Amino acid sequence: MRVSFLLLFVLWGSSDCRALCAEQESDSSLSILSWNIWHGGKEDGKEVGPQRVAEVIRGSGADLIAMQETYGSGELLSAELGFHFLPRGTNVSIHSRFPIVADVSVFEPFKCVGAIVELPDGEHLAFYSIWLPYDGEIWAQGTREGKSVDELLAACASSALNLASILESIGPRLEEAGFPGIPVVVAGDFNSMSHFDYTEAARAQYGHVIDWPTSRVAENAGFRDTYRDLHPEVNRNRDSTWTPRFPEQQQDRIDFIYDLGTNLQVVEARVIDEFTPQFPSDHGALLVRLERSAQLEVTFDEDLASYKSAHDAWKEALDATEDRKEKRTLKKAHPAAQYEARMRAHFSAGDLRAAEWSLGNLRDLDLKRSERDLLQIELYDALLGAEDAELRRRSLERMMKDSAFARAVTLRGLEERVLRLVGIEGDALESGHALFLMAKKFTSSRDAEEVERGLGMMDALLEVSPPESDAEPQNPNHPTLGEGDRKEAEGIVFALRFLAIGKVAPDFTGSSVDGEEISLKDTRGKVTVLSFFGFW
Amino acid sequence: MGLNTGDAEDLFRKKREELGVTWPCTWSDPSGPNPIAELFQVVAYPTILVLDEEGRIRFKGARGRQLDKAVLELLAELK
Repeated sequence: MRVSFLLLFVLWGSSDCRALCAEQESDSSLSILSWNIWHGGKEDGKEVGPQRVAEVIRGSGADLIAMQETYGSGELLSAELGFHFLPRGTNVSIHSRFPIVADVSVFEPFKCVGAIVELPDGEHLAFYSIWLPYDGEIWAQGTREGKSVDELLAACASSALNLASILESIGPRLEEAGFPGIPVVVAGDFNSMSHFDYTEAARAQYGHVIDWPTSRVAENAGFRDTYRDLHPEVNRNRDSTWTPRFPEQQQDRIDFIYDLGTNLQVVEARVIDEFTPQFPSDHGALLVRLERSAQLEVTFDEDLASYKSAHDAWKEALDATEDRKEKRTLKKAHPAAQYEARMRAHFSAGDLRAAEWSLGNLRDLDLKRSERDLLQIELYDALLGAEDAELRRRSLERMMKDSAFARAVTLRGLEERVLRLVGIEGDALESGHALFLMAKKFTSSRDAEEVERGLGMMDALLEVSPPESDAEPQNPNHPTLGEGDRKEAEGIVFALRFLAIGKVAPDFTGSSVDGEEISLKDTRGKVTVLSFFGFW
Repeated sequence: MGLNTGDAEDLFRKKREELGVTWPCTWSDPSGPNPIAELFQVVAYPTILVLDEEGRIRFKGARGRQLDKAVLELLAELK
């Protein structure tokens, strides 16, 4: 979904910020809190509990709060904060510094409430507070012992199903309410972990690699996990929202703030779980601050120009230096590293030229390998999904030549991307070319099965691409080979079928310099050395 | 079997004599196409293939000692 920048101006030009805005931390950001306050926050006392909840919220500087387990404390809290309030059912509710102009709730009242919030300049944001169920206790002490991954997954199955229903309903609901395509934030207690957390890299922290389905649902719907966006490295201790009150239990990140189409940068994301005398809920409060990057005041072109001159100056200094030690130090100070954040901001704002820049300079950015791998995937995926066909083609060519990327995602990973590209509404030749490049990758693999797969793809492409079919593809929706690709494919298929080790060499007849006929078949029964040579 | 590519006729004859090439060699006018090299997708010279008695390609790119070894191996299979 492409959304304009209009939302952003709200957050800056808040000239009409009245009393309610007085406590706002900064007029250039939007702070969102997601918090399950634990039985209305009353655990530590009917009076003092909710008071402490209000204090935590005030201290956070939040503008919007997605609350769960509101249980009767909502009115009191919104009055205390001076916020607008939208409850639904007894569990979920919304508190907002900004006016709520419509109720766009979907799904079950106990589990989901949605509000259109009008930001100070009149732009709108769809804000949802949700609570997802769980099917089994896998957090209390000892409850994971002896459980298989499937049993753990089963405990979070409903969470994923409910989230899928909620996310599916939001688009149509917004359209019906007269707010089609506006930015969306979905926040709450998901009662499930994330596949971004239980990764191979974090196996030492969680003991398992688990592809939790709930977070996949959100990801597949195009939503961004704002916390993980800012903190790509998994740190169980820092990330967990469950549970400040039960240190003996499994500590997990189960509260999330997802956004879609806000075009805002995540500038802060943290779990608030400390309070004196004691934190009032069994869930940490997840705070995320979104901001339009100030760097975007500078256009991509300006940044690119200034990068180029920084690069030229750096190169010149490098060439002028004789001292080896100095040269080494200089080499490490590649100017690309300083421009990375700006370019990433341009990219976040939807400028794919910045993505191309980052890919081109990937090796000179100051990134850990794991970060680089993740960024690379994000960049390629964005570029391959570009609207501009020429940019897609260029990115495909780049990806297919990028052996480091192929190593990171494997040939299957490349294929997945190629198929996605073919799924985009491109023309027959564009998809034909993409599939051809993929087939070529497979046929040059060392794995016999992959070679076979590539050969099968080539055959299928050749079948629908008779000579000169680029002039007029048989079917404009069917991937078709252009003439250059077709000839190359024929050559590759021929070589694999007839010129590979173990194949019977194709017969031929030539003539000697004296005009005698010489045929390969005359050498049958003998060991033959074929030598293509020239004396020159 | 030699598959000559790119030598002018005079040079080819002279060198064949000098170097004592006794095995069959195809030759074609260097100004024309070379369909055999094209058939085998030859991109570098020399390109050497070793075929067994049934005409199967068994070795590619063997030179010098390796080539001797390859031929001896296939000859041993013959017996």
